[in-house]
Amino acid sequence: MTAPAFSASASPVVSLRNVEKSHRTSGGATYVLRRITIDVAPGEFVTIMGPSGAGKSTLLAILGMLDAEFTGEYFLRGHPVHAMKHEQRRALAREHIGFVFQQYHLLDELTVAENLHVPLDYRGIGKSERASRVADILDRFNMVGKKDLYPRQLSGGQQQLVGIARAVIGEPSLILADEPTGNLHSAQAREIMELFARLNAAGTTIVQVTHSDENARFGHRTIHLKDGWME
Amino acid sequence: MLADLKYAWRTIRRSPGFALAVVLTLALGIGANSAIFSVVHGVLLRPLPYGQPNQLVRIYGRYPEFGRTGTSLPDFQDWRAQSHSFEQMAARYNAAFVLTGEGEPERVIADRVTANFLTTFGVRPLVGRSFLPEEEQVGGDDRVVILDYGYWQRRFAGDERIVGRQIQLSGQPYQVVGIAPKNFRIERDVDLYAPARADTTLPRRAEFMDVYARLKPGVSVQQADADVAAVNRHLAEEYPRTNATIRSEVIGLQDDLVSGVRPALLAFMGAVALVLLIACANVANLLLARAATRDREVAVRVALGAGRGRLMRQLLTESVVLALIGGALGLAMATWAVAAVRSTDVQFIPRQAEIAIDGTIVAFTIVLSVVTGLLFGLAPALRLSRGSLHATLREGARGATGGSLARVRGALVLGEVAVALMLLVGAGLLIRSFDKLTKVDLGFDPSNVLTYSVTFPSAKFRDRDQAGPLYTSLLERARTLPGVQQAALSADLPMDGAGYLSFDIEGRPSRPARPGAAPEDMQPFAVSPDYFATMHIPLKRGRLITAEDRAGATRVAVISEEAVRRFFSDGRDPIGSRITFGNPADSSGWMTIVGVVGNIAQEGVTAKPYAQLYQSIDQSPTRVVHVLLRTDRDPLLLASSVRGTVRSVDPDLLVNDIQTLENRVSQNIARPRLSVLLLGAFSVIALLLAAIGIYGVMAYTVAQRTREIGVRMALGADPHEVKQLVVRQGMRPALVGVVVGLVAAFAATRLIASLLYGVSAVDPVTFVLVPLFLIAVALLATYLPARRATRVPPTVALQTE
Repeated sequence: MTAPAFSASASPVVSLRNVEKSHRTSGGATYVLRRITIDVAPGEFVTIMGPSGAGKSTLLAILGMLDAEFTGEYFLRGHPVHAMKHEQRRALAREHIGFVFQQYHLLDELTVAENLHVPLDYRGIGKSERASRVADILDRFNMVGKKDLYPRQLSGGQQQLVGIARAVIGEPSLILADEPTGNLHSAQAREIMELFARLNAAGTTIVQVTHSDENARFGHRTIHLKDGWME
Repeated sequence: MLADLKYAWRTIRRSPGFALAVVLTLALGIGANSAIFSVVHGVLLRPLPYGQPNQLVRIYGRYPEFGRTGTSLPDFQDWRAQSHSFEQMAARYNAAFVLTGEGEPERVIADRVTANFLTTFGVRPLVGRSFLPEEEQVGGDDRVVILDYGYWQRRFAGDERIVGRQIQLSGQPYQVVGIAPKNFRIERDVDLYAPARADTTLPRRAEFMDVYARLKPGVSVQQADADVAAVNRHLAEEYPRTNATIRSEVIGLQDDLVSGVRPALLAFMGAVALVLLIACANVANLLLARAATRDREVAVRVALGAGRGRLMRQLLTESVVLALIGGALGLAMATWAVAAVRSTDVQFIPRQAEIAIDGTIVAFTIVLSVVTGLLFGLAPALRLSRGSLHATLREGARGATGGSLARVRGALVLGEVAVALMLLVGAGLLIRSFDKLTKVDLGFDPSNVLTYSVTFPSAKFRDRDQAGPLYTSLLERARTLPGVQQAALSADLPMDGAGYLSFDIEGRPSRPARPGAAPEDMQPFAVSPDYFATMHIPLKRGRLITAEDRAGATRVAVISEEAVRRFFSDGRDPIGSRITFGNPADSSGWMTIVGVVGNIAQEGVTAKPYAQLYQSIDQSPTRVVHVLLRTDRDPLLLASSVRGTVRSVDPDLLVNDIQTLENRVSQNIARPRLSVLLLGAFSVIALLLAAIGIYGVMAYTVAQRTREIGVRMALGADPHEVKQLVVRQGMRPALVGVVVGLVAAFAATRLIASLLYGVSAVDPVTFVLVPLFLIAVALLATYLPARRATRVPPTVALQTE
């Protein structure tokens, strides 16, 4: 497999400087992340690995702006996330970030097509534009025949396919994937990873958290975390 | 928004059981509010259906120590002539006729009214004309009537040709000159109106007229009150013997009509608002419990870019849609309830016919539903939209349950218990009050007595001396009915109100009337000899009226103990004293007092004892008599045979109003009974909702702690101790709620003090028993889930999560 090219010299999509995260406990502060400094270049595919409790998912949550309780600096495409107010962060996340979850997290009450509408709706995109983008992505992901099915009617692999389609439909500059193949058997996992590779080849920046060495090989580089520290 | 609605509908459809529980709870709460509001709107808020209704006033006579009274015709005429504040002043008094010549003879209820009666209320006859001024003059042609709309429809099938025709009333021809408009009803249902004759020879203290007036534009009720008061001062100077103590009171008509029910209606409105609050708390609890399972959905939506406002909108849309469905069902329930209230024969409240579910009530229900939806949806929506996303997404579908959520639940339980306690205390007080009302010593025994009225046609009653034999045969025939033990006649029945007559006692100088003192008068009754035995009214001294006291014999009277207390307090023996209601110079009017009997409650269950005087009905005959039959079986069994018995005396006699004496008494307390029933029903709903709410919270909390309880049990905890622990923790908010509710009830029950009889608004019995009862309910609601939790085998409990 050849890693797709990316421009390490261009200004980074993500830039973390001395990011730290701690919980206050009765015995003082317990650190989850220590002095994390990372740059992710446009078009790069980065893998974060480490044992349980190393802080991988916490790091991903900070990157996805689901967790704002950290110290240090975080720039997304040059925007200082650490200095932003809640609604500004939400607006920035809406514009730039797509999420893929281990448990897929599709909305059970919505059909495949409706699930794909949701992020576009939240981005304030008009109805006809939404419909055309959804039709387009259903086509690209080969899911036109399944558009009216509910998540419970799909296999795990198919659900994750919808999850990824939902993540990319808003054309984010950064996809964050948290153990995207954790609940899939190996053949399905491979298909999903190949899909990520194709998306990356087309220019999407990806950060994934995984336990799997095989998945890690789809990326350009791997960051190892242990006890909150980068190794 | 459309997408939110669509999604809300799908979410509701997916959990029909949950939705049903929410919708039914809300329907109860909102429906009760809509129903009571429709009553409040129809009775208190909606203007009277007359022209310029805010100019209409009622004018009462008033004795400062005694209270309101009617007005005599001479006083009315002086008020009308000498005051300056009124465009019109009108009066009415009760009358009755027998309609003949139109099929079966029928007793008709009438109002004798001044010629300007309809004009004063700003209404015109639907057909025909009003009365003319000359028709109320003595010597003028007063044989004209205006038919009530309902009676016209019922009796004459709405035929307009009746106007101009003559009908036979009590043996006299009367010409129908008009039909009153629909819904024209002043204080009571009548069948027709006839002119009141301006007979100036009537005594000034014969206070049988009700006076209404229309203020001149720009004149306030206070100015009018002062104006009539000035006329009264003038009358007191001119007629010191009759008018020294009488005052007056001018009051807005709408205020007057509804002032009696306002406290009760406002109390009901408060009660249903509290019920709705409890319903909201319950639904909020249900939503909170479900919110835990929706954390994941919300977290995903946020991760996909949903802003807080957008999320709140979506969640609140769901609540509001649920509330609107509940509101629609509630409105249906209210419509049914209002139809039921309107169809009852008993006039519980004034303006009953004006109560309706109209556009205002629908709008009220919609607004209330939306507000309710926002209210119960807010806590869960706020919680969800502020949830810890990161944790939720990592933990998957399992909801996060933090301390703040437990606090919210605790607060909801606390609030529910406090509100339920307030309602239960209110209901408890009303129940105790009603219990006292039913146990009031009336002075007579209403059980097993059948009553009915018999009207003699005036043609048969020309010669008053004929009355005695007719009365005797009426009673003789009645005594032949099976099971009749005693039979008696009376011109009046208890609970029907009474007349008042001033009197002179022989040898006692007329005392100058003290300003403000209660009038020196008595309630006069004409009864047959067996009346006291039939009614179980005890003889205290002397003798009762006997068959010997017939027409032509020496006139006798029996007075009540209250009459002795008031008018023979100087130690003189009332027995043997002579008394007259008429002119002292007229020797035929004097009666000799022969006995003293116990007081009876004549004007109502709660009426204070009043001086009463009984004459022999043979010596003071009336055309309408009431027959009372004491029976040894259910008196209603005789109802069907009564008419035949009366007809056998004379086929022209008219029988009306067959009912038991007990029923008459019970109708007199129909309004307090309605209060008890309504507030009792609301309290039961509140109690049920609160109990379900506490149970729900406890069951959920305990379910969350199943693993912890399993660990404790595995470590050797005694199930009893664990149960105690759970119950103790569950009861804490309930107990605080009881304390809060007690304080609130202490303040709030003062508002219903005017509805209570014989019970203090802070009645200690109620204030102790109700909290104990509520604590017992709360204990049960916490104990059941606790017991279930300790019965789960530890191995199973430990596998939970």
